[in-house]
Amino acid sequence: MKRKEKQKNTYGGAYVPEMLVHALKEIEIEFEKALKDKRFQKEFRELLRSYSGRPTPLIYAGNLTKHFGGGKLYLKNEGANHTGAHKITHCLGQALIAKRLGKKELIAETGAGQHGVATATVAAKFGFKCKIFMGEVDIARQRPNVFWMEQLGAEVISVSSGSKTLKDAVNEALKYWMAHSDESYYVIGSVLGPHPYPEMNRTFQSIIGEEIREQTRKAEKKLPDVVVACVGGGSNAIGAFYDFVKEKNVRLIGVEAGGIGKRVGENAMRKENGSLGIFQGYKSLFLQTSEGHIAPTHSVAAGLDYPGMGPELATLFREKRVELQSATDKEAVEACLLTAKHEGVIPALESSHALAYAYKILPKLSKKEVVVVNVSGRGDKDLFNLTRYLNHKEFKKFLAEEIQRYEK
Amino acid sequence: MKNNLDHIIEKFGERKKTAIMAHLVTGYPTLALSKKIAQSLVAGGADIIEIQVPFSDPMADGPLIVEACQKSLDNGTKVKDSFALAEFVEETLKTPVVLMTYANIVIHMGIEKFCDECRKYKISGVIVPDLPYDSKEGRELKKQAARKEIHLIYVLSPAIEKERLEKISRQATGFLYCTSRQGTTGTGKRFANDLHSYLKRVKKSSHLPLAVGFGISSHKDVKEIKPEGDIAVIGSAIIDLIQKTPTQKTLKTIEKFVERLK
Repeated sequence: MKRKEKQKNTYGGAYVPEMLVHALKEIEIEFEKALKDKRFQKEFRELLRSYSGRPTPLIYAGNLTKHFGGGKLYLKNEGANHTGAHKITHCLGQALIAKRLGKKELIAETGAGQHGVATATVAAKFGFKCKIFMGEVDIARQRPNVFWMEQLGAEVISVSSGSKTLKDAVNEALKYWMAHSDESYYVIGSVLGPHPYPEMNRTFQSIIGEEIREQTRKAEKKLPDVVVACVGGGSNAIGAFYDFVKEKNVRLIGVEAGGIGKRVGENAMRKENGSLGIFQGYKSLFLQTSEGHIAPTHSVAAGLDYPGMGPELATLFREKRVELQSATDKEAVEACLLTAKHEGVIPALESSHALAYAYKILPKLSKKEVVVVNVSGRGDKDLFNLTRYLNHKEFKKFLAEEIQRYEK
Repeated sequence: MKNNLDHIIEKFGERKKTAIMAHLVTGYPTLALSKKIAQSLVAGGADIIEIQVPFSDPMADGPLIVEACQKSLDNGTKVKDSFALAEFVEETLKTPVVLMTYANIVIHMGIEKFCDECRKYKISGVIVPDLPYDSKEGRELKKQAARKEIHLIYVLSPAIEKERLEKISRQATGFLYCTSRQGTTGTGKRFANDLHSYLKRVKKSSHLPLAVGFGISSHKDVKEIKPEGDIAVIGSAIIDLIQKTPTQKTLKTIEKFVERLK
């Protein structure tokens, strides 16, 4: 029993080829130094304020509260950040670490392109060279973000191995880093990868929860009763949850991508289908095949379309501190449109998964109960995605006409 | 009990030529052919066969091996196919096999069961490049492998720190696998500038033979690593050859290629 207990606490780690050990150690040491350095803290907080626009607002969603007739709903609008999502926060933090290490180049993986845009943005701001690795399939369907990354000065590298999506982009970024860790710093886009990345990105992102605490206290004179966030890798979720982990009365709910069905390949539900594995440098819950290969995933939200989960979040789930639920593609799209109509907030399809689940529980809660949903990003980026999903006739017509305008 | 790899290593003192460890991916281009490829490699003079168990996301490999693994998995290759192939090479071809794969395949099967299987199929050594020696699973693999008299081959690279090099050298058996540069497997790229001083550093820390791999594809490359390298590892170059050669000529071409390396 004792041995089993001990083994239980081991998600995370640094499972990398020997050639990355040195680069990771270098980051770990610098990160620890930075944490103790008041000037670093000040510079980071100042960038969040004056560049990213923090604190992000906590919006009382009065119309939706009335609509559901149960608990009181607040939206933590991380979409108000510069570049439109919470991702900029850990990009700024990591760029400062890279600067301290004297690196010349930032590299990053991206799925939909949000983390790529955020990385390219901080690279432009701090004067780094920048390479973004992106799956061939994602490049094809997320051209607008590719265009912006290029305008921001980044080189977008097409990844044609495996499923040609996010996980393959991570693989290629890791490989490039193995060969170039002298000059390059790998800005990992979530709370995953080898140690110290999960801990480092969580430290940067935990400002979300700190702000939620402060803002809820001001508005409601208490802590929230429920905090809900979507979970892909888990950076916005752990950012929103971390400050409340010790507050046993605050329910923490992570919402995974239910996709289009329950079978492997149709969703990204690590709770239902995940099992212990080692992949991309960390140990956690992964969607995998019966032979231990990494399984394909699906979600309408690219940011949730990933087989693994940040190790700290997986640990909180195992310890039953964080609940995991799911919302389907359809539920997420409906929640997105409902939030737009009633509150004038267009959430990203990722964040819409959290909203979809919140809308399931709100009617069952009492009027005194406060639910905060972390709206990790804004939905403008999903324009093409959403119109395609809705098979929007007018938009389709617009696209056809747009091509003609090009050819004139 | 000595395995096929021990017999090869014992004779290293008296050998003049660099030994060749030739690599193949089980099930690439097909399962039937990979068995024949193993025969050709041995016929051409390969001293050790490195059999890669294909994994969906081979993180230390360059494009050629990634593609080969993908193709093999698309063909439906299973983990057990690698064990069967290894047994054929060890038992029928009397050539030592080092089985290479990634941590998740081993963890998924269970470390003890993986080592039991290796033992059952007479496998001489294993390589798991993304399982560091000081991780919990790395230690467990070492323990189980030692118990089953299987060599756990550690992979080192130019950026390795002194302390880690010494710790690895102390517990390593069989041989040490030194990558010729930072980065992934593959042809066409140069060796690290400090290749020889790094290999000398490794040589000083250990009495074991040194294998050198990544980017070795010709007799000239083999000669270049000779001062310190006891074993040259040829991987992507063989995959490249398979890709470029018409199927009916593949086997003969591979055999000739290995012959010319020495």
